[in-house]
Amino acid sequence: MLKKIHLIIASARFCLARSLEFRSEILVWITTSIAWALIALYGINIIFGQVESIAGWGKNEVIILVLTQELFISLMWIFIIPSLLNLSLIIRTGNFDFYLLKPVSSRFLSSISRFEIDQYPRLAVLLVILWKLANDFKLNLDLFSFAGYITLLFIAVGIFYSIFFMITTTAFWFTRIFNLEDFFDSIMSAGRFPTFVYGATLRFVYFYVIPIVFIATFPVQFLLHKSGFDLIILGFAILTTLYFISNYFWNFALRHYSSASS
Amino acid sequence: MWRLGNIISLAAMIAVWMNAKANGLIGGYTKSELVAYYFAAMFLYSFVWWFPLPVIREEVNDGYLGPRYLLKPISHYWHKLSEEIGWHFVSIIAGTALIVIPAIVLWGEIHTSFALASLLPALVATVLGAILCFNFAYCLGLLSFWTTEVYGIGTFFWAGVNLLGGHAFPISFYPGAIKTIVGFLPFRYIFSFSLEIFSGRSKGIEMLTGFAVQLLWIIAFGLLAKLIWRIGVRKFSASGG
Repeated sequence: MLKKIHLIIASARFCLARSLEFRSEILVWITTSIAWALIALYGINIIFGQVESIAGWGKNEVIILVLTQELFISLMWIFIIPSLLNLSLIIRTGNFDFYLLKPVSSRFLSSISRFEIDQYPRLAVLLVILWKLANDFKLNLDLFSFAGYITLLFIAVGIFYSIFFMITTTAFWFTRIFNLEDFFDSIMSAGRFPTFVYGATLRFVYFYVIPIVFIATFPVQFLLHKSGFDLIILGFAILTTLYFISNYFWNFALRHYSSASS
Repeated sequence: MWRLGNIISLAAMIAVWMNAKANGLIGGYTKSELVAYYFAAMFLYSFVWWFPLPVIREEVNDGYLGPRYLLKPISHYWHKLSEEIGWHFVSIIAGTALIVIPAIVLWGEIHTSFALASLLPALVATVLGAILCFNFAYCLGLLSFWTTEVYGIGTFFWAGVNLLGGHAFPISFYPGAIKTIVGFLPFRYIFSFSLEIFSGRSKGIEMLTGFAVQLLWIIAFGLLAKLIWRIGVRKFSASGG
């Protein structure tokens, strides 16, 4: 366990050093990512200039929802998606063999190979906006609801790590699979609105198959005291199940992997 | 994968509008018209999103520009344009195929005031919108002569089309003065203008004025591209190749 923590720290330090070699690029991406978050919030203002509510959710609630979705996206882009995109690349270019030769789980190594630092300022900005809106909207947040909110967010990150990991694993067969980040972004953006807008079939899919409901709807419901601790228990159950399924699929993929020679 | 992602986004926006509560029309649209709008928008996206920026960036920053274009009697602009035409033949087929099933499922929810007479001008506006998109993105791609961060600039272009061009929601949602300004920006003429003609919301003198503005933007970005290319090529240097 200690070895894995050291590896994570080493990878994070390497990614930080690598990113800081191109400071202007970091500045552009920090500006872009913050601007995108603010544009998303502005878009909600425009939509609510025309409607009163969406599936019973008022403007303030949907703004908190979109903010939560943006927080989720930031966490995914800091911890998960860069590593998965790198995994897809190294499989395609034949460099995955070097991961298999290391004396550590190849899944673990593939999952911690990249971290993005340009999302940290965006994360900070979003948290400040959330704190300000909580005061403006008089949400009466307490430590318990905020702790549950953060827990559910990280559960969502864990759930979608497993889902996206399984999708990326298909690169062993579909080596020309690319544009994964656009696909991931589309799935994450579906969590922007209350999941209750969907009909019965899609709601089942978005609750139990691809649990988009955990991206923002459930965390915000918990934050606003509209749901209880059972959401966290459900979240952990889905997270654990998906982790084991993704692990099985990964091992299945490895058994069918043939090296591109190295 | 990208097309599948588009379908997920389409399903989300349609579900939102079908569950939105409003007094009367939503930005001048009924709910059924909004559903039709999003289907048309998704279909149109396959036609107009001509985006050569990543390829140009790769060519300039990785040094391929010299051996492929500067040493040969080939116009970079026309070559990129022909590549986009070729790629979009495939993209349009894929995009259409993925939209057909959701359209059949939701046929009862779709209503549009489309008239056959609008088809030809809508097609013309679509083709011109694609060329405008290409010219705009081409200019942004050529900024690679000076910076490696054109991807970041490209995302703002996408934000412009999304928010100001009618992809996220109709531009009629904007209030008063903002709507007037947005109405003259190039983003509207890349995307929204075709949809407005298709749905019968732009016709007669207004439509002809729109075509004139669209052509002006195409020419403006075309001339800008020529200027940037001339200045950039003088500055460009590559090693190897």
